[in-house]
Amino acid sequence: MLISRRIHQTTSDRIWSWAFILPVVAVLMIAAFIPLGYGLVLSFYKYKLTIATSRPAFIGLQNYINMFKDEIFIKSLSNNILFALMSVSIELFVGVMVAMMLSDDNRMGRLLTTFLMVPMIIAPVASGTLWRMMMDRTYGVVNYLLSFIGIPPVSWIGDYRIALYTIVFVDCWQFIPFVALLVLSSIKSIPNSFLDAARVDGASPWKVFTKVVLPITSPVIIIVAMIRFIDAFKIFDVVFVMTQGGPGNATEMLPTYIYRQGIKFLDVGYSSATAILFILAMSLIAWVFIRLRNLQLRRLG
Amino acid sequence: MENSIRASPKLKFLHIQQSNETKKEKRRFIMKKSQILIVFVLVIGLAATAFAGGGGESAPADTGKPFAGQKITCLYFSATYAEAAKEYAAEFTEKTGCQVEIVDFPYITLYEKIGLALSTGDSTYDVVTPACQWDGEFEPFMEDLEPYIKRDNFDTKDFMPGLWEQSGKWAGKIMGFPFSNTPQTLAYRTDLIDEFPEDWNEFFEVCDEIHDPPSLYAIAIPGVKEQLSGLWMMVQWSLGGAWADEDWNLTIDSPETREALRITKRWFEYADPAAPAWGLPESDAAFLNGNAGIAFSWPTLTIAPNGDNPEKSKVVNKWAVAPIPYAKNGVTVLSSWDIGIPKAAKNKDAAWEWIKFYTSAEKQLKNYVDYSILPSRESVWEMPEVKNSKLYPHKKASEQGAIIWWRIPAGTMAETTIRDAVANYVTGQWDLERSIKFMENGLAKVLQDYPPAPGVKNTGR
Repeated sequence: MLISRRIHQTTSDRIWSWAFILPVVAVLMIAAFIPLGYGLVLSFYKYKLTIATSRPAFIGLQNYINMFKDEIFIKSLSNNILFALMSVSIELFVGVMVAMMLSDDNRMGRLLTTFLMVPMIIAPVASGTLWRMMMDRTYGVVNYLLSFIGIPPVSWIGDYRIALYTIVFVDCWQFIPFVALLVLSSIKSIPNSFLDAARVDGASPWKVFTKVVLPITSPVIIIVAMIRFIDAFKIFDVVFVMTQGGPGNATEMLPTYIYRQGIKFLDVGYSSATAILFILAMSLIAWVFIRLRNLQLRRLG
Repeated sequence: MENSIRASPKLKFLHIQQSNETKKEKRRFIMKKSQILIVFVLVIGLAATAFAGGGGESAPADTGKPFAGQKITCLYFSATYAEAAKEYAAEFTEKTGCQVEIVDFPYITLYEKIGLALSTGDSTYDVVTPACQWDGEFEPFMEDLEPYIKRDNFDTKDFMPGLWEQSGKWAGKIMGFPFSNTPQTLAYRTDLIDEFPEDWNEFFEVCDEIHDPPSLYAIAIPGVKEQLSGLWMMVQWSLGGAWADEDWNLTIDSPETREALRITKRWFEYADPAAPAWGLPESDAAFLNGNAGIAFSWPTLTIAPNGDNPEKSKVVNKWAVAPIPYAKNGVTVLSSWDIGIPKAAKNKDAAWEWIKFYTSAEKQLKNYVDYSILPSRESVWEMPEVKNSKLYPHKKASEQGAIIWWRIPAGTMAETTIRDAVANYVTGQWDLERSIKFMENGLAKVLQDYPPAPGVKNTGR
């Protein structure tokens, strides 16, 4: 074992450790677990915050049943699944490619890595607003540039058949660098001896990639996929500023739907139910990915 | 590091042991130092907080003024209303001694800010300005202004009665005064259109005449659903349609609803293809840029303040405002804002003073002249500065009838149902029957889940 998990600690060390951890535990209890528990309780009630005279009425699982009768909820759910599958797949594929291209430790690679950070450091609200303006069919710069190669104007966010793909594109633009940087750090941690050994054995670059690099980096890729998948399900800012869920409900996602129920309608009971379901689904996804990662680690020995 | 690697194993061990001892000493020192630092930071933090609090409660600077030393926080819609309020704040402070902080949010988040503040009993705001469609929802959390009116013998006769009933009064209670009164109208190019059409058929004839894309589209329209649904409503109402009768029996499945949907969809044949993604700013910009003949907009927000400014407009002296095509009754959508005091407010008397000040005839005239905010007082409409201005046709639109949708607590839910149906139909995702079924089922569910209080009639459509 390279690193011992048991670190010698004096009593004073332990007291100080707990003293420093305690605020975090307290904040988590107050800001996360208690509201979550309260949200679970509220999800069994019919309760609209702005009806001062009404008291919360217990309705059992009715909120959960209503959810699956709601056309807009189903649309939001299917949009969200489609969006997450498309954006995460593209981000992983392109992200790994970019990471491989940057894995040579030269000056150009380091410079490009720095540039890669730019989309990540722009706030999603700002990037959404910029893309909204750039993708305007008539006044946007994207169509203007495309016109030089003979492509007619496209309604990127005004056409319901295209709008979801536009959101996927913006998400990829923002998060491919994130995937690339994490995978790159994993690639760089592979001992050179592994790669040299493979080359000495006559492995082609493709074989080195598929038989050495990919298996070793796969636990990291799985974790990155998990983070991005959960993030993709939480998409809100970009949709809110670019399309507001439109045209029609073509880009409505679960977070915008929950926002609408909770913050716009102040329908506390129903929005709690949708939020609880959302959290359960996300926890399930996280559990699946962690199982996958553990399996892969075991396979790699 | 280099040396330790080269040394013999024994020496290396001793070196590491010594190094560990030194590290432990160093760590203890750092620990003590950090403990002192933490205590120091805590003490400084507490002291700073205490002094800051003390500073906030400073004694009144001018005791000769009735509200010296007080401060009120007013929540406004981030548009001309807030800009005007910010301008008047210094004058109010000068008169009363009361400091005024104007907090403003865009329309899309204002509802949640007011809703959360009121429903949770938050006392941050002394004055709030709900849109009239939220009155029924927020009324239980608002102060009754009747005692204040009686106490000060405040003359309220000047407020336009029809307007006040829809904006500021709910179930017999006065929860606010209306301070703006904007019926939905249209802006059009006077160099292209001589007489604005009287009905929707004529309207499309005019569109056919002037439509010349891509340099000139007949219509500039904000196609995002929050704006589009309001535009659809004005057509449905002008055709004589309604969502429900006064006893809340649904009447949405009607020929007027179908016709209004068809008309709304047809508008897009004459609009820039980018319009389905446009909000008000893009739509107004297209009109001011000379790319559209008619603007479906709130002309008071952008077109009126900028239309005759050569730096911001290419249609200087070439635009006017007209009521919507009359169709059957000319009834259009009302946008009105009222100003009132939350029950949880801390400085209610100072807040009341601000309300009287901000809604006075003098300020309403200034609002009109400087900010294109339409008055809620009859006397101001009669003043020459208003009567002779480009925005005066709004008065005619008001007289034809300007109303708002359901003002009950579930009104926002109902409006969102309409919004989804209209947007999905217009963009071609749903057919007519599916859209109407969605409206009918959605409104029925809203009324079933959150029925209006007993005795409350449908005063809208």
